[in-house]
Amino acid sequence: MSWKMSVDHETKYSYLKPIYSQHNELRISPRDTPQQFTLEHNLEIDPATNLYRYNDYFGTRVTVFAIEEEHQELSVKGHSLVETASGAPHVAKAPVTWEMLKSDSVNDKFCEYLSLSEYTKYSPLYEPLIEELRGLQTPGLAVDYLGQWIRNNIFYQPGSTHVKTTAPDIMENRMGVCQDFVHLGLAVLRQVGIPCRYVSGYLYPADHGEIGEVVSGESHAWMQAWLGDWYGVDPTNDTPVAEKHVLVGWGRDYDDIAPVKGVINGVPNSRMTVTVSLCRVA
Amino acid sequence: MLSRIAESCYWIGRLVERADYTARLLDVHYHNLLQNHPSESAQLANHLVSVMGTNAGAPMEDIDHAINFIGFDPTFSGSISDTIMALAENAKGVRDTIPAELFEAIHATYVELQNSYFGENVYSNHELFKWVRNRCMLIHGNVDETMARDDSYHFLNIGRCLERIDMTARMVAVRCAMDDDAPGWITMLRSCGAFEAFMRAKGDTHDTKAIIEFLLRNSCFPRSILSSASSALSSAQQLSDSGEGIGDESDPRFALGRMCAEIEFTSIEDVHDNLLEEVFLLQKGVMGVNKVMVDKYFHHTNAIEWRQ
Amino acid sequence: MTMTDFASKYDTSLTYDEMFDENGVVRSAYESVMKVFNDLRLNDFDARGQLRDQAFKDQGITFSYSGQERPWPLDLVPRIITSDEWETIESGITQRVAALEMFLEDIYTNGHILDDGIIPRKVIATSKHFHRSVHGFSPSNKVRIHVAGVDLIRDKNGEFLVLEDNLRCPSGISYVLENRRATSHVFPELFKSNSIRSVTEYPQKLKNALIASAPRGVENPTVVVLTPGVHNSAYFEHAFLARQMGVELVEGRDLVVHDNVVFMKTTSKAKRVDVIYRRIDDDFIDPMQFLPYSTLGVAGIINAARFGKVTIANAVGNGAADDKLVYSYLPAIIEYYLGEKPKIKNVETYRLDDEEVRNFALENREKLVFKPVDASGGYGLVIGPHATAEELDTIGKQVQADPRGYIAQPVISLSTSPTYDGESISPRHVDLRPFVVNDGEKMWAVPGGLTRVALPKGSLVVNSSQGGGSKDTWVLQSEETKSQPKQATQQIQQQQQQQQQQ
Repeated sequence: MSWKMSVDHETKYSYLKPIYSQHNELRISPRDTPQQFTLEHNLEIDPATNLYRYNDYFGTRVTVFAIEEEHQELSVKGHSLVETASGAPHVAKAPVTWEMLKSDSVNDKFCEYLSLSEYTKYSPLYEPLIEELRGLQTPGLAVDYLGQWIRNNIFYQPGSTHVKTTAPDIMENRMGVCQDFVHLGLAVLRQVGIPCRYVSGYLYPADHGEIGEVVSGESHAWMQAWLGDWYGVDPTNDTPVAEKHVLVGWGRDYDDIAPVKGVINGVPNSRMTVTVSLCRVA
Repeated sequence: MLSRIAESCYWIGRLVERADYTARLLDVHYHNLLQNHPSESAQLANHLVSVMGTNAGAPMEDIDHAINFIGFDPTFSGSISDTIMALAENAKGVRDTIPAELFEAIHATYVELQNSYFGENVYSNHELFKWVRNRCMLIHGNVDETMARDDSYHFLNIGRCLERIDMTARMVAVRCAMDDDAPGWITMLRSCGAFEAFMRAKGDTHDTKAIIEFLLRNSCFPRSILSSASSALSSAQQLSDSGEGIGDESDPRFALGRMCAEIEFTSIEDVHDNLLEEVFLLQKGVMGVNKVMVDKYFHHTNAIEWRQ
Repeated sequence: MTMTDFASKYDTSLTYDEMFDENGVVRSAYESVMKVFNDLRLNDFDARGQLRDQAFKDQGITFSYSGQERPWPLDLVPRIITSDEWETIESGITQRVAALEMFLEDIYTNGHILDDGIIPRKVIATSKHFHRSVHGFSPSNKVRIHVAGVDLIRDKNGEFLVLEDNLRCPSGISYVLENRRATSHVFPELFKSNSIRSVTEYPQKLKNALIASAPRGVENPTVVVLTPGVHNSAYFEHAFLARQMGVELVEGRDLVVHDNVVFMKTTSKAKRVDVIYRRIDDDFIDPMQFLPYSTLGVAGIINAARFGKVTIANAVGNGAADDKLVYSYLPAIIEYYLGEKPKIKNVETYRLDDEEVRNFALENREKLVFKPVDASGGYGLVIGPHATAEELDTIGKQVQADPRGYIAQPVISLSTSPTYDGESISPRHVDLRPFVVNDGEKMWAVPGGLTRVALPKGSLVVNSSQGGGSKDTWVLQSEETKSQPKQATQQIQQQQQQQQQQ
């Protein structure tokens, strides 16, 4: 049963001192996939300014804007109405074999989703986990196992990490938020040769979607592994990636899909608040 | 022209004038002190430092201490050495805009100062100050003789006129802090390079009001405050689009015009009785014009660029 | 001692020499030069050298070496290329640039060459210079390589080989022009007896190419030269080119992007900028897309290019094609886009990301040259036969740690040219960097280019930042007054997916 869901996202920045100008790129607009269709979408920026759009290398919808007058606050409001499909095939059942993943064509086609970065770099701390994964019969089972392992072994603790925390840090400290869980998942899966990517979007957090009920959600990160096709896996929640996950876009890691990226002209002292509300309308 | 280039020309003007006046200030007061009031060394030293707009972090022990500080201390941005370094930096940035001889004159000044001693008396202080003043005169000469009277010249001229007003005001402020006697005013006149001119014009060094009037608004003397303000006003006039009226406070002509009018039409009695306050108003006026220049021409938006 | 005295002691057994053949006989192209030098004594040479140094110093034609400003080291013995040799060079380098233009267009739009497996996707996708922020759009006249510097060397048989392509901010053209000017002032006699093709057209050709690349619909485009500033070691060239082309020289802080249009901050109205000849590396050019702490660039400039409001020359992202690993695929690239064999060969290159090749290379490391794929200025090179045991050990470890980051090549004994070292005229290794300007319809190569000399005896490192010098480089006129500029052999443009704008 597919859902029709409204997503309202507001990010507010307030600056200690007025800043002169800023240039930004937003990656907060849901994109269309076989599992998701955008019915409505608009963005409002305050102070008002012209918006420009393009689709980036990964196909993510990007909105470009600049504020060029002195201001002390910035508000970005996005409203979307999306249709999300239910019933995604379970990753544990993915038919692809370890042999198939070793082929040259897979390694060539998905080389970007196998490459490592500062966020997803190697650490010897992964070794025990890597061994366990390799021992499983199929890569699909390995991905499923990994998702569970992370949920069971990494503690969800907001404030324990920052935007630049790397996967080795997470493995060592065993705590973080969804961004960190995903980076760790990507780092480990890439070590065993499974192409995987960082996905950004929104999560409807309640168990049952009451129609008309507005719930407070979050800007969320999960991952997709390629096992013949792209399978969504959420290493933070034990929720299958289906109608409750609204997808904005993907990349190799957080840097490729950061919701807001930009530069400020002025002193950067700021406070940021993000509110996300979701409502199942049908 | 590019804002950055305009701003550099403006600062070249200000910095040359600053180096020149600072050297004069130190030179004249040092020798006056040695000759007339050697015991007041510490007092004078501290006054000089405070007039330069700083407190040096600690009280001055004697005049040599102050000279080393104002002349050469690398942590003091108004020191002669620092001023000349900033001057060379600005010149480097506009090297392709200014005449080659002007660039050479500035660059050579910097290189020679670098190669001689800071803070130690290899040259006698007097010789060093004289050298600085001569180099500044050379730079002025190059400006006046080789620069086309285009925008770069006018920005430079506005810079040096404003600095001249500011430094003259500071000189008077030093004088105010000392005892009210004739030798102090003579020293003051000498610092401004105005002694001989004054003697020819008025001759009476006991007439403080005459001295003040001379420095303030004698139109024949090129270093009087009025002459400087008028010259800056005329350059500002050249910079503005032809036919554009003066408009409002965002136009440098507005502030400069008002400054000229106030200087010309204030009674000398009032000025004399409230000298320190008048001096402060002049400095404030200069800061006001500076801000207008920045807002109108230099378009400062470059603080630090940071990532969100 | 005169030139003839040196000629008799000149050793041409180890290399191909530019001026003397294997029997020590002067080559015909150099005969009139030989005549002029024959009558010179060493102190004549010295005197002319001093004249040259003084002229350079007075004009501020210097460069940075070990943190100091030195007069540009120009050797007074010219390097001569015959018109036949030049024809080969010119057709070879323009062929390369044409293929590389198509390659860049392809990898930044459809990626057909990757889909067709001609070059592994990984090579591009893992290149540090493949910038995803400029993927998905094309410059308005499809030109990305407005200026290229293709480095050539000559092996023991006198054959020219391509050493590397420089497609980002190739520098050195100002020295080509100044070398010619200085040599003609200091040695006018040389010019009387030789018919040398002029190089002075370069600034005009570059300007025309930049104007041709302006966004569509702009009349009288405004061109600027974007420099990192006076502290950059190549600043002289930036200011020189701006002056020669009659355009404004700007720094990042002089520009601002407003509604994706680039403007210059001036004392009156902000002035729109249409074409930016930038001499700033990609990494510093847009703090929004690259290094966010860079104050050298302009925030939003890449999107201004994306939305077609400004042209950045050379285009951002060209580094994906002049990476030394991509270089090793050039013959396949030329074949793929042009259906031709390379007219000038590559130096044989070992791709170290292949395990077998890597093992072979490391086993024979004392005989090979190891190069980081994206180094420049001659830095990071390890020349096997000249390296210490420690250096050989280090490079082995570095290659193992990052095989994609290195290539290896056999040591080529570069050709030599007689060079004055203060005491005698003796052979020094040289290379050649010709420059190609692409205006979208034709390619034009400056006759000659920059010849760089490795000044220390036996050294193979020619870069000026490491103590190299240069020579005035001549291409002699042929019987025809001019050879025709080569046509860019670009095929009909591949279909390009227009990115949606909502």
